[in-house]
Amino acid sequence: MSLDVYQRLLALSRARAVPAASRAHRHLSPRPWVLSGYHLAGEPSAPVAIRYGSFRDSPKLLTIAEPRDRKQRFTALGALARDLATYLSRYTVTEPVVRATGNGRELDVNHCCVDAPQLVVPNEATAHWVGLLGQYLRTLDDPVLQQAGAHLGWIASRRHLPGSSVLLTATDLLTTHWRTGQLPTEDGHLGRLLAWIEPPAGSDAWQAARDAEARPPAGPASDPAWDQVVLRPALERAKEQGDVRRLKIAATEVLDGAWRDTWAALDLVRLLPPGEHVARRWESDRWSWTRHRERVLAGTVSFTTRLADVPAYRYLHELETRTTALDRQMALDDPLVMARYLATGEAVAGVVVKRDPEHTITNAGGRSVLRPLLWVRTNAAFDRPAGTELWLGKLGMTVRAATDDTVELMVVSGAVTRPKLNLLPETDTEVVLAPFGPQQHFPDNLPDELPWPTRGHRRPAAEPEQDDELDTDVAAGPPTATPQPRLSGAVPAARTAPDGEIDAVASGTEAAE
Amino acid sequence: MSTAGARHGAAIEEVWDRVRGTDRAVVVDSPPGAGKSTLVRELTRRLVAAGEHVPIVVQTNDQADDLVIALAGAGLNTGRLHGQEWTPPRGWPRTKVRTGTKLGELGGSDVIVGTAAKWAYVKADERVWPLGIIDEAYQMSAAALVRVGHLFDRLLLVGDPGQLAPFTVADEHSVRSMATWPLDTAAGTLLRHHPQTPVVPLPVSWRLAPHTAPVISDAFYTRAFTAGAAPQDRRLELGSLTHPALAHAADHGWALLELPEAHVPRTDPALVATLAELVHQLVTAEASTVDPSGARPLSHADVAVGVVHRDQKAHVEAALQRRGVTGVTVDTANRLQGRQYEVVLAWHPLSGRRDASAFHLEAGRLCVLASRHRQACVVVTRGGVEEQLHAYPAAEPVWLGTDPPQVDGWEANRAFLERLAAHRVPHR
Amino acid sequence: MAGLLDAPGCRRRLALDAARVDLGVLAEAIGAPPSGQSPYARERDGTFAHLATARLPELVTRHLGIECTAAVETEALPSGPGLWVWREPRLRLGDLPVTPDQVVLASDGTLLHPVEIRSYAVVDGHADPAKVAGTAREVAVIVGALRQAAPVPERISSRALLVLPRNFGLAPVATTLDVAPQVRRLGWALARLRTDLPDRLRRQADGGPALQGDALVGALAEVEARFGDGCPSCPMYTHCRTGAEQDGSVARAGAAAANLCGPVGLAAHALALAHGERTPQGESEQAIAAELARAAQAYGWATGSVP
Repeated sequence: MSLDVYQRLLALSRARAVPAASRAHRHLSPRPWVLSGYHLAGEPSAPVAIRYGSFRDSPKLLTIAEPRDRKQRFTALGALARDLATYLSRYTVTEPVVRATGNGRELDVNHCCVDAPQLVVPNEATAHWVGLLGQYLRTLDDPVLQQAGAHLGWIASRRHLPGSSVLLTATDLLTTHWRTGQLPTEDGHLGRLLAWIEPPAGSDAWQAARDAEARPPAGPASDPAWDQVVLRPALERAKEQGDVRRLKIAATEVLDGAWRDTWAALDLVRLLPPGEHVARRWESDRWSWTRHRERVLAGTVSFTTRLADVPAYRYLHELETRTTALDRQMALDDPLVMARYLATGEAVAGVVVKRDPEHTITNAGGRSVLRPLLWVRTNAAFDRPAGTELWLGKLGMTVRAATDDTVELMVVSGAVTRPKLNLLPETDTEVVLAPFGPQQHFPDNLPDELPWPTRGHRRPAAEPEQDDELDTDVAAGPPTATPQPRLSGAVPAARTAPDGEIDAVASGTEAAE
Repeated sequence: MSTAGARHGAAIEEVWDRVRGTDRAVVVDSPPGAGKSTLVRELTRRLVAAGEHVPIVVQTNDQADDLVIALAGAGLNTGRLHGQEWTPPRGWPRTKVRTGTKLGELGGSDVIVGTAAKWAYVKADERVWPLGIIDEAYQMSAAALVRVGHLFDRLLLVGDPGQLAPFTVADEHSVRSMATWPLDTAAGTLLRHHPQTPVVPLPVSWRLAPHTAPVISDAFYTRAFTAGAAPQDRRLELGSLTHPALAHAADHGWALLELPEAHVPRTDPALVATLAELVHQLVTAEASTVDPSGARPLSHADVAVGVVHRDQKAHVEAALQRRGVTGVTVDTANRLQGRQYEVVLAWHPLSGRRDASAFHLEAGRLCVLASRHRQACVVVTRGGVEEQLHAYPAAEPVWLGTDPPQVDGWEANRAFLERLAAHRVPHR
Repeated sequence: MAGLLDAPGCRRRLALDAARVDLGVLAEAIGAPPSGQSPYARERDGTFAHLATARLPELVTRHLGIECTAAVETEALPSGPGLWVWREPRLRLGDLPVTPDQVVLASDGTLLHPVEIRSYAVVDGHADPAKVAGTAREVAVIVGALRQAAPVPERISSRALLVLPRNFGLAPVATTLDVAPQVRRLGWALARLRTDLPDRLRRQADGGPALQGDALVGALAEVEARFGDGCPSCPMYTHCRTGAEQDGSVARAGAAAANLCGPVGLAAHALALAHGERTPQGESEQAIAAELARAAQAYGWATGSVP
């Protein structure tokens, strides 16, 4: 995308990030649950410290003096699980939603939660950790911890769905809305990213980014030096002398920056007016939350190790549908996103300079049909060939010819009957002709079972490698739980797209446009 | 009958025996122009003669229309199952063909042809066939096979393993992180789940010539094939034409036209202009194409320009329109799959880039572009492709439990370039 | 050695390998943050390596079908079937020394398969693909070096056995990992490796005194670098990045920018082209100018400003 490059170059030369969006493209909850944390290097199930909560000024801080001790871990994660349950309990109010079914002749009433929870984390690594933590919690022999694991599992499963706002990462939030002049991989560091967007007074982005790098890491990935110099002495003191003060200070020090930065990222995006389709996409998250809650209440929530069989194909279909829908919706909601398509020449902006609403052609059946013509004056030469399809809202048109500053278009749908001619844009109207027609909705059309060509005669049984007793745990206590394979996975096994969920983002007509 | 003809004939009989045998599925690996369409037509004819009804799944509407025209031409009662917006193409047969959007409208047809997308709407409780044929089975995704597989008790899959893998807009990392990999080809997924399935390779390419087939076979295929044509069978006569790249390609089958090395945006105007100029020369000179069936003038429909991106297609088409050239196909590798032309001008996927990318290195992309021609292929590129290959880091993510692809894109690109070095023609 | 596969296009990165620069010395010389491993990661690595080593015979038997009961020490390329440990082999790849602490090999009597132990987790059969790719590159170097040492190179298999801890514990599980593509890539990179080093580095490569501090940095700065997306994992990263920042180089903004701007190496020049403040020289610059001008215009349209 040439606009992306241009923005990066602008940012680079100004030593400051430039906007890449003029609307907020994610739903921002008025009361998100923010979480940042740190675990022992290489051991996601051994948290050292977790800071979380919905209130910026009064976060909860958990520290675990001996992260490899199952009992201590259990206690700390129990507190986290209870607080999560309290937060989630705010999102139980439902409202009836009436939908037409069966060719629109019958009405169906469903109940949907009026709001849904939102978890916000500093970076990708933390988002990934949320999933692992959920998975670990589900292996523990405790209903509260298991339920928290189920909730985290649902939250984490939404992360990969384009357009979902259940689990937001601050870095993704910022890179969606701003461009920096550094390497895209460097944008994964929240401190650096914020330094580019809002460098402290008197400092340019380069210096501010280097300063940010020197501060303690945002977790949970380990910083070897900090582990050696700060964490190790603090943990040893806590373990040997039972004195956790130093650990608390260390935890505060390492998590404070990430905490502040995550809220700062939310503040920045909150300044932008929300995109028009955002509420619609959030509705799909609300439906998903509603279904997830129903399953938790009914005790039918289950997780498989990985999606396989029909659910894997259904998931692929949902990803494809959502990817296309999100690209389209963001472009229609936000001129700065549409500008990407103007820059590549796929879209064209200009002023209607002439119209011929009466123009007709003879169709294949030999009948004369109305096909109005429009002439649009453009800033740049439109270099796509005749026959290219473009859309103005619901008006479909094809390019007939283009000169250096004018495109001649023939309207082929949306205003090709006399009663609809008033939908044609007037002369002197500014228009953006985009490569996005009305959103199409394709049902996933999948069978309930895989047909024979795509499955083997018998699936090989899972390898009998159940020897998790080889743990790093130092706990002397009774071995709490044997892992339960059914609950040990990352993905909700139930249909990822219950009826209505995809509909909410991808159904036929869109009143909003 | 030539040796090549005998080998091809033997392969066809082997497929026929397998189809009449007890294997639940049979896969035919067909390199470019190995007679896949003829095979499908011939097997269909034999099956109908044996009293069978034959459903055929193809991947695009163009493929369906071409096949229906061919089958009806061979005298078979053929049904065309199509979507709402389909209109019959030019040359649509007046007899032997029924069309409809539902199975019920095709009564009396011995053969029913439709795209995979359309077959997905047929319900198994309507009808299940003892044997189905899937054409272009390496172009079809596993996801599409999942949607139609229940309609057939047995399957014959025919396809070219050197084609582009099915495409998805979904983020690969997101898919792989959450699910087992559903993005295989239809043939690939069938072979994975039914490893005992016999694979019959067609050993002879009738499209590629003796001097072009080995390049494609070596660089892109694990099962070698040879050309069916004899060395003197084909000729491209260029009349007044002088462009050295076209002249070289006419003599040798290949030319690698190298513009001066430069890093340029992907719609490289010089490459667009060069391609348009080559096309213009080809269609205005009095060129003729010669093969054992005789000589005939080279028409606009005999020429194609293969590109990598849709914006390149748009720019080349616009440039041709400015030169008043119409009727020449310009399309991306993706959409040229399964097509055949006398002369193809190909935009090298790595042309003008500073860094190669996984997309541009995909073996199928280059293979499709380089194997659509019967007479000659001119690959047009900026210099410096070798340097790009050299500088490409081996940094692709490796997903545990998956085997590396049988044909590695980087390796295929390197091998192809090495073989084309002898046909390098510097830009004037 | 990793530079050959990590960044074959960067001559400065290759020079590090060719001149056998000590990365610790280098970090100090360029003032990079000290690299190293967390004490916790080190402990975990040690524990896991210990556990995994004990289970190797079983894993090798199960996954490679090679019967063995214990690993046997060897001081040369082993010839018989079984599981072998070769400590501190002194191998070479091309002219470059390859000196791992140990190489573990499983042999069925014909083929030798490398066995590698790493401590990143496989969760539900899924390991971080970037880490696996890193391991694959390392294994490819070992395979390449072993092949160079072997009388019959084909006997060294590119199919390695990778042993990783499962889920949240330390139970070792094994997967085969085929590094054939990486080995092929390596062979080609090696054949094209140009070791035209500056004299000072050349002397070090030939066994002369190792350069330190500014002398080392100065010698490396003479070799051309290629800044890009993969740089953060390179030992020279902080040094090269400062250079790119001071120059205002387009590549500082990443490979997409460098790819689009081609020969226009400076961001200021690229922007001047975009804004029509600089006359493009030659067709390549004209194409770039047209592309960027279009982007500038689109940006101006969207933000209501004239660029």
